[in-house]
Amino acid sequence: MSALQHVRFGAFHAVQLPEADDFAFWRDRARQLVQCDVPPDRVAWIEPGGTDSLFAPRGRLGDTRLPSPPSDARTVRASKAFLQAAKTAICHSDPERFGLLYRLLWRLQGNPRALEDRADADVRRLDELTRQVRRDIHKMRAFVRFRLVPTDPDAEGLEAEEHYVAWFEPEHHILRTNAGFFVRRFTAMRWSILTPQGSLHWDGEVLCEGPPALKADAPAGDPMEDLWRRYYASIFNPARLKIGAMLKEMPRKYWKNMPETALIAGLVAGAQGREATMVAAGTLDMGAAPGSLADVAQCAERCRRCPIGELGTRAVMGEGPLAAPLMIVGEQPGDQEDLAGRPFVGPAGQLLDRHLVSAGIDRGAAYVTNAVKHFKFVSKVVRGGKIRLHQSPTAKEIDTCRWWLEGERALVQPRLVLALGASAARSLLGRTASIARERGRPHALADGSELWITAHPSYLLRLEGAAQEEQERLFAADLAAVAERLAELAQAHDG
Amino acid sequence: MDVNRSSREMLLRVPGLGVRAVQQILATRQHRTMRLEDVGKLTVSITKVRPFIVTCDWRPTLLTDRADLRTMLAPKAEQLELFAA
Repeated sequence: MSALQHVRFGAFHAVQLPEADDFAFWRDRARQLVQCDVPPDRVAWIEPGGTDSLFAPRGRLGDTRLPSPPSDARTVRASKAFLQAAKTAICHSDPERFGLLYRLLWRLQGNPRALEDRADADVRRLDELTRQVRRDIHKMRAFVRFRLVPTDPDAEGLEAEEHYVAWFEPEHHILRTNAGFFVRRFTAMRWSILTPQGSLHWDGEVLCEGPPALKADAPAGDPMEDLWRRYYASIFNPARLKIGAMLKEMPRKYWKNMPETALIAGLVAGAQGREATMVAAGTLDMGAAPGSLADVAQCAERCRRCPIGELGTRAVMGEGPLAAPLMIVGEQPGDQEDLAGRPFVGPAGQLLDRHLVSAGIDRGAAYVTNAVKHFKFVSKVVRGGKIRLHQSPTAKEIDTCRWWLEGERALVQPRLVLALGASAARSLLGRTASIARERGRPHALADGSELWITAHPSYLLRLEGAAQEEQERLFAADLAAVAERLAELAQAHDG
Repeated sequence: MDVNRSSREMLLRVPGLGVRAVQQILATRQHRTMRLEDVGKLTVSITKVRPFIVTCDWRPTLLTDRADLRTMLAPKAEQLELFAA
């Protein structure tokens, strides 16, 4: 005699579901089974088209008639969160989902807070199922592509209206859940969505369900698709290629039913080349380096590579002897410089002259020029008269104009370059410099000359009171240091 | 830090336990005494958290005193491509 002979198993129940995503039916049966006290391991849930449970072959245990609950059965309780999750999870394609949900419902009767145990295997699985279904719903909304069915020109009434058909292969049973979205989004259109599990048809007023379809039932192409493909290719940015992120948002499994995905391989393959072309097109072709200062002056006068070129009367070139040991670089010509055609003749130039004299530097022996050759300004009406208000050049404009300054430096070959202000410092260093931190000491330039940085004289003119005195003192000290260094360099050169 | 007893503030100081993980730990330990495996289900990387926590089946005896603990846990330095196409 076997020891198990006296063990009595409860009756085994099999529930055949009419639809794979029929939540109402499942809830009804599950409630009944809980009231009859049927434990989860005595129930097999069979979805349409699915195979019967291994442990409940229909011939022997096919007890599809459920017991009716006793009259004093307690009510079945479930939290709102569980119902919501169950409604979503039931759309999953996992055949175990009904059993899992029933198991959780069964446990909720004993412990109403069972769902809060995040380390529990069943709770985690429920989480996973709802997440996957939600993602599939989201992807279907993004990746359904409608195609126009060619209509008969002689047809009348409803048949004459445009009809759009889409073929989609969802991973889970989400077609019915997602129907509301498509009805709201495409209310005015007559459309059908065909899937291997079923189909939906909307005629503008009524939504009907249809039988499963084949891919061949949907049209193979659409006249608008060429336009859509061209648009897709044109918004593809080769300089922002992130294949990993793209595949995460648009997984390959959806590619086969989307017309634009055929382009992706080519776009990705050509991205590097297209980016290189874009970079090459962005750099300015300045041509050959100028051969003389007259050349520089002539070409800079015609230069229109930045918008400042259109402004002002003329390009104001540098002046001074060809082999000057000192080059003084300002920001850009001002109103008076633009009219006179000479650098540093306005108020700032006069201040500079005074300081140069007191530092013992001969302006006539220095080459004086500007980082930007044209005058940038805005016209403004002040007290009935029109004035040209100075505007600082942008970093890009300074960088564009650097070509001409470099040309002058290559021809003059100064031993020491004095940059007045941040714009000149940027032009010579190729980066934004801080005057306060970098003034008063030499910086080596690539051609072997020395760069000294100090404030622009017009900055001193803008200040008032004690601040002005302090800055004038610093400026004078910088010029004195430059004069001293120039003398040293001259001595080293002669000796 | 004992995962089954510590307060929220103390758990938040553990490297590797973020706000989300701590919230889930607090909810879960009402239902069960947490084992290392359970903590592993709620965190991104149990390897990172392991040296700093105590559970009913885990106590990091020698791990916390190791001189190379930092090198074991800190992410490896990686040279990124500077001029990627």
